[in-house]
Formats: sequence, structure tokens, C-alpha cells
Amino acid sequence: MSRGRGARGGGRGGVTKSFNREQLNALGVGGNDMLPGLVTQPPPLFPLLDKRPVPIHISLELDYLLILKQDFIDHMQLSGSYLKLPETKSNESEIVPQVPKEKYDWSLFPSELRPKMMARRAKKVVVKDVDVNNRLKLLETLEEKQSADTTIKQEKESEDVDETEIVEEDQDEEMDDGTDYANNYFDNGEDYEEEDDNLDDGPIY
Amino acid sequence: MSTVFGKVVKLILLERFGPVVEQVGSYLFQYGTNPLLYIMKYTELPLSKIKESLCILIKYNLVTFVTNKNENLANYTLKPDRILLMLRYPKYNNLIKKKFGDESEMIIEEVLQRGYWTASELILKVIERLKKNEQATSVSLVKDKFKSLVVAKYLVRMPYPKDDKPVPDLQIQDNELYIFPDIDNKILAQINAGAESMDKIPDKGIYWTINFDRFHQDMRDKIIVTAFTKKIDDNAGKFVELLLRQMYIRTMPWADSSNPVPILEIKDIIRKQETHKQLLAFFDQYVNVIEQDNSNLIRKAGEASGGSFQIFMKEAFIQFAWETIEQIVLEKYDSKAARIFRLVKSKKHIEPDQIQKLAMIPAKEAKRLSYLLLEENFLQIQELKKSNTNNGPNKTFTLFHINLEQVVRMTLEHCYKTLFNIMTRKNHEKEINKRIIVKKQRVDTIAMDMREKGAEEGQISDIEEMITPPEREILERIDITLKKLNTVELEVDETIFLLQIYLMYQ
Repeated sequence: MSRGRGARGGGRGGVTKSFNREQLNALGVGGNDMLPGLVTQPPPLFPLLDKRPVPIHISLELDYLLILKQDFIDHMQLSGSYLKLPETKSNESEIVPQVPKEKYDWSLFPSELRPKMMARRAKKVVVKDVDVNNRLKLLETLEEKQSADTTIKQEKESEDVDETEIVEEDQDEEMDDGTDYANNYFDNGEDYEEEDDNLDDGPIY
Repeated sequence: MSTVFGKVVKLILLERFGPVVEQVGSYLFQYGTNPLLYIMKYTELPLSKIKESLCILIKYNLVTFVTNKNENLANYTLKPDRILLMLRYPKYNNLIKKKFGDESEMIIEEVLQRGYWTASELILKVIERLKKNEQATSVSLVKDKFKSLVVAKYLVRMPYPKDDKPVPDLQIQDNELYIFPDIDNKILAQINAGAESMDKIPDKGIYWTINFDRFHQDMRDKIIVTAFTKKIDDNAGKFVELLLRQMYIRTMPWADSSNPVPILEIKDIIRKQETHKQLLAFFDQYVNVIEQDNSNLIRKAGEASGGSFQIFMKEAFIQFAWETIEQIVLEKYDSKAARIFRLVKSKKHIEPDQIQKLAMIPAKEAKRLSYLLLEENFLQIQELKKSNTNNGPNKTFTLFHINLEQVVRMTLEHCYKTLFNIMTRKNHEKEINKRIIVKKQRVDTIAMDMREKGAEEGQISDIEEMITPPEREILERIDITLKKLNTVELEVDETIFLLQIYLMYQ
């Protein structure tokens, strides 16, 4: 037992005998090769270039392309599409004249992107048209039913009342619709977010 | 979609749309498709600004949207590849200028600057610009130019909403894409003269935008033609050009390989054109030389009617990609490394020992260079183990090979990195000299104002002298540096284009 251990120990201890030259070569350790020295410094921030890049041949066409490129960038920076951060706006507005905001064809964009004023106005008009007609018809039919029982005088009075009612109701409707729209708009967004959150949380529990 | 690519996209947006749009854009790049409120939550910008920037991004077709589960909301997705194309805009302009002339170039320029526009407004705008340059125009002339751009498919109709939904579902039928609407010249002339208001335009809601694919097709063809012109001569270039033109009659433009093109057809065209006498005289020789070229662009498909040839776009671009990469290796690690690279390419799989022998480079250097190329990922290794020997070390074979697609993707990343470095450098250069640049701009505006008001030369030169000679020197230096950087930007884009086309064909 002790012999066996000794033999094994000897094998391990003999550093030079662990691998023969052929094996070392296979591992890529050559006997005569110098190992690279220790690196104690970080590499330079801007190492020297190994090869110098070939200069680019400047042609007339390239010059023209450069002009086009600069023109495009200048145009973009002066157009309404160049948005600045709100804080810096006040400082720079002295130099750069205020650019008119872009006009969009809103039918091509999601309605949630419309500025609020635009959205409300667009919606209101539609609602108004439909509602007034419907309401008038409804009231007219009601009126006819009522007028069958009452006298002409009473009818006149009730008509007046109805008319005022119509106006009031209309106004109410409008206001409601306006605010409703705005509420809907934001609530939906939050709902969505919460829903998503719940979905995310789901698997954890 | 790497980080570097994201950074490049960010800088492109910053340069053209300012910091707000850039923030929204990079958020969308990083987190993918997202609804409005998420963007607001994470970018911490005011809602109105985010809405505005989304509008701008959608307008330039840099962001698309789809309906959310809640039909009133939309999910927004950035198109980073489309943003990268903004670097190529000058090339699109130039291409049209060469092919169709100044008016058409203006049309393209206006569309690029706006994202999309109606035909009438575009025509009016171009007329206005031409008048400013004091060039003679008419409505019908510009309209015809516009029409030819549509017929040639450089302009394409925008998808439009079918029904009125909170989030519009933009669609378009294939047959509507290139149909020019009826526009009455009279109405345009009246609007132009100021007799009618802009609201009267007949093609309201029909928007036109750039068809980038068509441009890329032209640019692809140009690469092939220049390759042959450079390699063989002008006549060969002309032959390839005609060949490609005849190809389009029979084949879809982006097919990997074309249907056979009869060679007599091309001969006839050359005979009619009479510009390339030599090509006609040595026609068969030219066809032979091009057929035997290692780009494998054309191959004989049949003998009938004097022979017909198939065009192999895909193979040509594989060859172009190889040559580009070889050139890069050559410029980066010098000719010996390039020789090793080409050797590995030609042998497909090769052992290190063989490299040393076949490349005829001293063993040690060959080893160093091949390991260098391996380290830089231009070469890959494959290990084969032979396990049937029980005693002694297992014999393993190490084989070098090249995975072209991987190398191309890596090179593309390098290109993005280069772009990022150049743009950062450009911004840095502008930032440290901001004071002088702003001063120069101010002086320029004042001088221009005075000139318009008819001030004397002396006064103007007084103003212009406010920039001192040393400042002038600095300005000149900045100009040269920026010009250099901008040039590189354009040139790197050429390489990106070639490599992208290669990847597209894969």
C-alpha cells in the first residue's frame, strides 16, 4: 500500500515528468518560448494604431453628398420636428425663432396622441348632431301624445317648457360628454396598466 | 440589435430630432413595443412632449403602432433599421438627381424632409422652390416628373385608415400602391397663382412616401456594375448593366437567381445604342470572361437562340462579402494575415500545420497570425477527437474554418461601432468649440440681414471682422475635421449597405 502511494506521490511530485515534450507542444507550451511578462499597468486609454487607415478619396460627388447631408440636418433642426427639452426652451428661444408646430392629418395617428383640445373638439361636433335630432323626434312624439288630452292653451305652455328643457338638456349632454370623454381617456389608460401589473404579478403567487 | 446599434440609433435621432425624441426613441429601442403610459412612466417626460415626439416619429415612419387590447390605446414599436437609413438620405437624393434631374430630386428631397405628403402640395412646393432659383417650370412639367417617379416605383402610396377607429388600422391594397390620382392641372395652377386656397387640392388624404426598396435595388445594381467595371473594364460594366435591365423584365427584383435571359437580346441593344463598339466586336469574349469570373454572377442556362444566361444575385453578393472581409483583414492585420485568411477560405477546413506549410510563412509567425485572427473572430476552430486509442493521449485535430455569416455580422457590428465613435467625436468637437461656432452663426446672420437691407460693403466687413484671425483658424480646423468625419460616415454606410444586402440574401 505504502509502495503504491509512494509511486503515485513520486509521479505527482516530479514536475518535469508530468508531461512529455510532445504533450506540452500539443498544449501549446513550447520549451524555448518566453512567457510574456506580468502586466501591471492598465492598457492605455488611446492605444496607438497598428495600421494607419487609408485616406478616403475625395471626389466632387462626395462633396455634393456632404452638402446634401448637412442641408438635411439643418432643415430638420430648424423644423418643427426638432423638439427641445422644456427647461432649455426658455434660454434658447432668444436665439432661435419659435418654429410653428407641425400639422398632422390626425386620421393617420392614434387618437390618444392628439393634443387634448383637438380631440375634444372633434368628438363634440359629432355627438351634438346626432343627439339633437334624436331628442327632437323623441320629444315631438311625446308632445303629440300629451297634446291629445290637453287644451290648446296648455299645449302652448308645455311647448315652451319643452323647448327650454331641450336647450338645457342639450347643454348638459354636451358638458357631460366632454368630461366623460376626458375621464374615459385617462381611466382606460390606468386600467390597462393595472391589468398588466396584475398579469405580471400573477405567476409569482 | 446590439447595444452599439442602439447607441447609433440614439445619436442619429439626437442629431435630427433633438433630445426629447431621442429619449422616447431610445426607450422604445431598449424595451421594445410599449404603450404611451409606460413611455411616460419611464422617461419621466411631460405627456404632451411624448405625444409630440411619437407623432414626429410616426410621421417619419420611424415608429409603427398596433391596437392594444383596449381599443382606444396603441402599442408603439420603433423601427431602428429605418432610422439607420437616415444616414443614406443624401445618396437617395443623388441617385434621383443623376437619373431624373433636378426637379425630381427636389420632389424626393421634400418627401424625405417631411416623411410623406400629398402630390399636389409637393408639386406646388417644388414649383415655388424652382421659382426661387429662377428656373422655368410649369405645373404639368413637375407633375409629369412626379408621375414618372411613381411609375418607376420610387414613390409609393401611404397606407390609409379604412374606418374611423381610435387607433387607425392603416392598410393599402397592392394594386393601389402605384396609381397616380387624377389631378387637374388647372386647379393646381389656380392655387399656385393664389386664386384658390390650399384646401381645394383634389387629392386630399392621398399621401406619398419613399419606397426605399426601390432605391436599394438601384444601389445594389450599381455595386455589381462598378465591381465589373473596376475588375474588367467599362464594356463589361455596360454589359452587366444591360443584363440586369433585361432581367427585370422577367424576374422579381429581389429573387436569388433570375430566369434565363437570352444573350441575343443584349447584343441587339448594344447594336442599336452604338456607344460601345468594342463590346459589340468582342461580345462573345466578354460573355466568356464574365461567366468565368469568380463572382459567379452569370451561368449558362441553355444553348437555344444563341444561349441564355441566368443571373445569380445571391452568389455575387456572397463573393462581394468575401472580398470585403478579405480587404478588411488585409487592412487590419496586413498581407500575411490576409494570405492565411484566404488560405482557410479556399481549403474550407484546415489544420494549423498545413497553414504553416501552405501559406509559406515561418511557423512561428503563421501560428501567431492565425491565433490573432482566431482571437479577433475572423477564424473559427473546430475540434475533432479521435477516441479509439486507449493508451496515451487522445489525438485531437484542430481545424480552422471561416463562418462567413458570423464574420459578416461581426463586421457589421464593427461598422456600427465606427459610426458611433465618429458621431461621438463629432458631437465632442462641436461641444468644445460651441462658443466659437455660435458666435460665427450670429455674425453670419447679422451680416446676411445687413446684406438684405442693402448695407454698404464696409459695414458688413466690419461685422465679419468680429471673428478674430485665431478664431477663424480654429473654425477652419473644425470645418476640416467635421468634413472628414462626415465623409467617413457616408463611406461606412456603403460597407453597411453591402453587408446588409448579403445578409438579406441569406
